[in-house]
Amino acid sequence: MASAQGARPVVREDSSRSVGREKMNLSVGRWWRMPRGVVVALTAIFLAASVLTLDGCGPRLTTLEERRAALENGDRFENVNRAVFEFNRTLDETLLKPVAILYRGIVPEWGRDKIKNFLANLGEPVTFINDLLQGEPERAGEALGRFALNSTVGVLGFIDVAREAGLERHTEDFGQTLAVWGVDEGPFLMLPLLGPSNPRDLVGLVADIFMDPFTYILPQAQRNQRTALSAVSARAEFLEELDSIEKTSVDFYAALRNLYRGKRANDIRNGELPDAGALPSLDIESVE
Amino acid sequence: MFGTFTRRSATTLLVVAFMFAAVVPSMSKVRAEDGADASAFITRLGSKAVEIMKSKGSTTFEQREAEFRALLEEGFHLKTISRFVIGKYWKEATDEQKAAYDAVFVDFITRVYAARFDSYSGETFNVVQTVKDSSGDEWVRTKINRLDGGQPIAVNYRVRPFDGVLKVVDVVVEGISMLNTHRVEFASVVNKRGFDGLVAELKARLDQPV
Repeated sequence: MASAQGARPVVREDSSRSVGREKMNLSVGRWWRMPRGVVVALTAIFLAASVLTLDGCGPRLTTLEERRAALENGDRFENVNRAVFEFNRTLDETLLKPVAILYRGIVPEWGRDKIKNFLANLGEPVTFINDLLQGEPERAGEALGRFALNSTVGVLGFIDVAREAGLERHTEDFGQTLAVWGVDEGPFLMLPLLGPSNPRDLVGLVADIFMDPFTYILPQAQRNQRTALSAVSARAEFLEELDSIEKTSVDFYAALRNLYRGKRANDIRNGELPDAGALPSLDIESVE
Repeated sequence: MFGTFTRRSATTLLVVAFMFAAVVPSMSKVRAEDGADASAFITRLGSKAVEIMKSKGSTTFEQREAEFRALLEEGFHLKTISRFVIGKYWKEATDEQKAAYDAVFVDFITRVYAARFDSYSGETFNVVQTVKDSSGDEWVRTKINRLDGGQPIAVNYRVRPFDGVLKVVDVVVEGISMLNTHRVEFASVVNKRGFDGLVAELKARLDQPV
């Protein structure tokens, strides 16, 4: 109650501003809401997770061995993360996965490809900005070239003509930019709805929303549609893969945690081979 | 002072350049020969896997799994893989536990690869490059080309000679080491349910329908 009252003046000021802008036929006042909502929600989740684990209100790591392993894995919130993971799985089983299956049943592959292209094209500006922030002008040029070509000749991005012209797609985000700048990933986080992450990528996610021009251009309803369609499209693409991983892993959570980290590290290296020093030596003697 | 410094660094540069000039050609020559072997080895292994998958219409999963098993035993160094994946817990295990683990591991790893490959639908693959790392292992970088023309999947094979015979010791898909993924998973299960718990879980996975 007290916090709601304290927040009231701010809310009022904000809404009055957005009303004023709407009258001028500008939706500038609205964009602020989603990112801030996301920031507040995510911060709350993160804090709750930390407090729960630290105070021991949540499920505790029972043995010393378990606690040590959790620290070694860079997953000190493992128990909270696993609980969130179960929540996400339930949500996936009851909502996202059925919708993705339905989407695959209704929209033919040709159409799904075009939708994937369209969504990917909307992501090019964020890639472009992050390429620049990482000091990669050449890759920035590729992203910009792709966006220009696909948005026009490629009919709003539905057809990836840039690929035919030799401009392969790549993605960058602010989480990767922070990594290039030397920021550590921090402890592993399983976020509700959003899935595997870490503090660095969480900050990156919010920053990407802010630097995305479409956050400001598109009205709220269309931004929501974009988010929903992205989720369904991606889920539909990985139906078999995720099923296969689940069936063949002895610990699905640990497998996904490792897949997420490996994929991120690979993206940060832009797909190059890691330094040999970073690789395990794989000698029988050293592992026996 | 400045003059001395530049002259000295110029000399150093020259010496380094000379060393490289002398070393690099001989190194790259060795590399190319080894690389060609490793590349041919992976191409052969991959073609065999594709052949197994192409028979999908006329074979059962069990038959394909058996063929995969033969392929893994021929092309992969399963002892290195199984020991690396269990890591430090090997030392702590009793002889019975070790035997139980060894008995189920190859079945498990075969199931993993056979299940992952079973979604094959005519994709092609080609070797992009072979690189030797400082430990002497060859990295054969391949690309799986998707049918819809989407972004190809990068699959790298870590190859090492054992008594002169090349064997795969790790498969890295899009930068994710299969070995490391299994190692992390196995450690997690052993920590929670002990060594016997892991063996039980591996068996449970094998009992599941694919």
